[in-house]
Amino acid sequence: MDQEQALRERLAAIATPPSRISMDTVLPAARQRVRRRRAVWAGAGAALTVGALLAVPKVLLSDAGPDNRPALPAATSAPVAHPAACRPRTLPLPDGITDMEAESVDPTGRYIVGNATVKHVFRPVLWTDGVPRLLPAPAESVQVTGVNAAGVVVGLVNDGAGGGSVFRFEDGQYTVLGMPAGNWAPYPGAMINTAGDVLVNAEPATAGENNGKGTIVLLWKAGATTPVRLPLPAGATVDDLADDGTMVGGLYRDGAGVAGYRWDQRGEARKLSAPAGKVTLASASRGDWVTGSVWGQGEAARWNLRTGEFRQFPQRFGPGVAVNDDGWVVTQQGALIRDGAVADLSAGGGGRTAKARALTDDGLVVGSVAVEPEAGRSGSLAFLTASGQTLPQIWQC
Amino acid sequence: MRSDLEREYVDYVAGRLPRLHRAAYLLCADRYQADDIVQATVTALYMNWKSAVRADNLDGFVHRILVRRYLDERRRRWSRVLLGDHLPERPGPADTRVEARDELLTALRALPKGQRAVVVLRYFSDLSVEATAAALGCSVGNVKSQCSRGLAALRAELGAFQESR
Repeated sequence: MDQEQALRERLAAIATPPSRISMDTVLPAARQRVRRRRAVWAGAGAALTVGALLAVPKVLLSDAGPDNRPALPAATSAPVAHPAACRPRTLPLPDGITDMEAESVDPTGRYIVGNATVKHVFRPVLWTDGVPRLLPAPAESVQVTGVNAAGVVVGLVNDGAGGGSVFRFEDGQYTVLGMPAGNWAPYPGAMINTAGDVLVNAEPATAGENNGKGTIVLLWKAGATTPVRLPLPAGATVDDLADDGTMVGGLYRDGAGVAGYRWDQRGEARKLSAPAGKVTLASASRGDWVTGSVWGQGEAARWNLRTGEFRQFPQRFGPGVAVNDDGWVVTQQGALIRDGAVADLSAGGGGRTAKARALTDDGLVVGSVAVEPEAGRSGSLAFLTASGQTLPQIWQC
Repeated sequence: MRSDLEREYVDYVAGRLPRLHRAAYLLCADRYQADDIVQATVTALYMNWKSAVRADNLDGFVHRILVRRYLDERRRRWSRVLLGDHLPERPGPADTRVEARDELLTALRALPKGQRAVVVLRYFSDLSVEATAAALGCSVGNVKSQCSRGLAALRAELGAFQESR
């Protein structure tokens, strides 16, 4: 048998894990999407007739077609829309960049970082007081993941081989931070706090999924290039490093969440509360606030460590990924929940969707607006295989 | 969508879901992300079914949407998605054993992403060199070189593809 044919047969024979997708899930989701698009087009038309580019009112985004059965179970305690809207401001793009996402913001709001996509690899961008700068790329892919109030940028570099490394970019210079002996893959991104300490999780760089097994947590003190391995329990994964050096994250076993924790750097742990029979995981903290998720349900959770308050938000917003000192939460789905209500983040209408990503204590929200490929009204299908465009956006809330 | 069109869509998609999921899984090596990619792909197809159904090579076309969604998802940094975002319906050691057993899958995952995508599209999805180039947004020459490097790397890892009997 020829080798190419043998490869075809072996690829076809690979056992894959079961899929959750079936026609039972495909059709309702697709129908709902069509209804939304119709509604968005209707909204865009209305905005044009009054001669202004307005946000599509929330009511238009809900079911507009004759078939208005919800495709997803209705949330029980949905927050209502917040009356005061956030003021959108566009972040200028660096020359030559047409597609990128804003990723993080320092606590003062002066520095914002983002990743441009050029031919499917990341290129880092730093805004200082709103002025963009495309940072040099010393490796094939450079992905920024954090910035602090001194403008020190951290992220991951990958030259296509090995598991990648953590970098620090300061005073115009890249420093690749040393990893422990062995082959480690840092994930999901480097974090930096106001003091300049840098932290990352690292898992053994084996081929394939290992569900974070064997993860270690590494800390580089400000200015250092050699890491210290923190004494956290096996299965601990950190998602945020606070200015006081504490960390929040979760304990995982066999790829499944066990519990959410806040740790100090000596490994002293505080387990976060969870509803009876549920597992919670933490992913970000600021002051007394911690946000995260209820495992397996994809719901955002929020704790106040001083008062002991615990709150859960409806599933459709996804896990909490950022929180500020007023307890506002940004979720994985890009929603901003403030004072228990979803804030209206204008995307500009016309098939655009807004996603928040990070925020400051002053209510500066950093995120992106996704512009879908133009719908095929002329019968051409080229747009279907085209990429949508993503643009960085900030909102003052 | 008109009911006859929708029926046509259901007939087409229902028969291909397992294969689309498999292609997505070979590309991204993550069962949940594979689900997300497939859902996005078939939703896009539904929304444009009336025109899509007239495409010359519908299967090839759908795979192109799939790859585009895969690349888009990757750019959106799905690595950051918390595990808790997904519903682990059937977590279990059984699946892990299945995954670990196939050395081809392991070798495939060790390939750089571009080479992996080319190998999957060419040899699993049966796209031509030209269609693969179109799906990935690169040149035909690039596909050929990625493909030969990918195959060489796989063979270096596995020896011959034909299983010894």
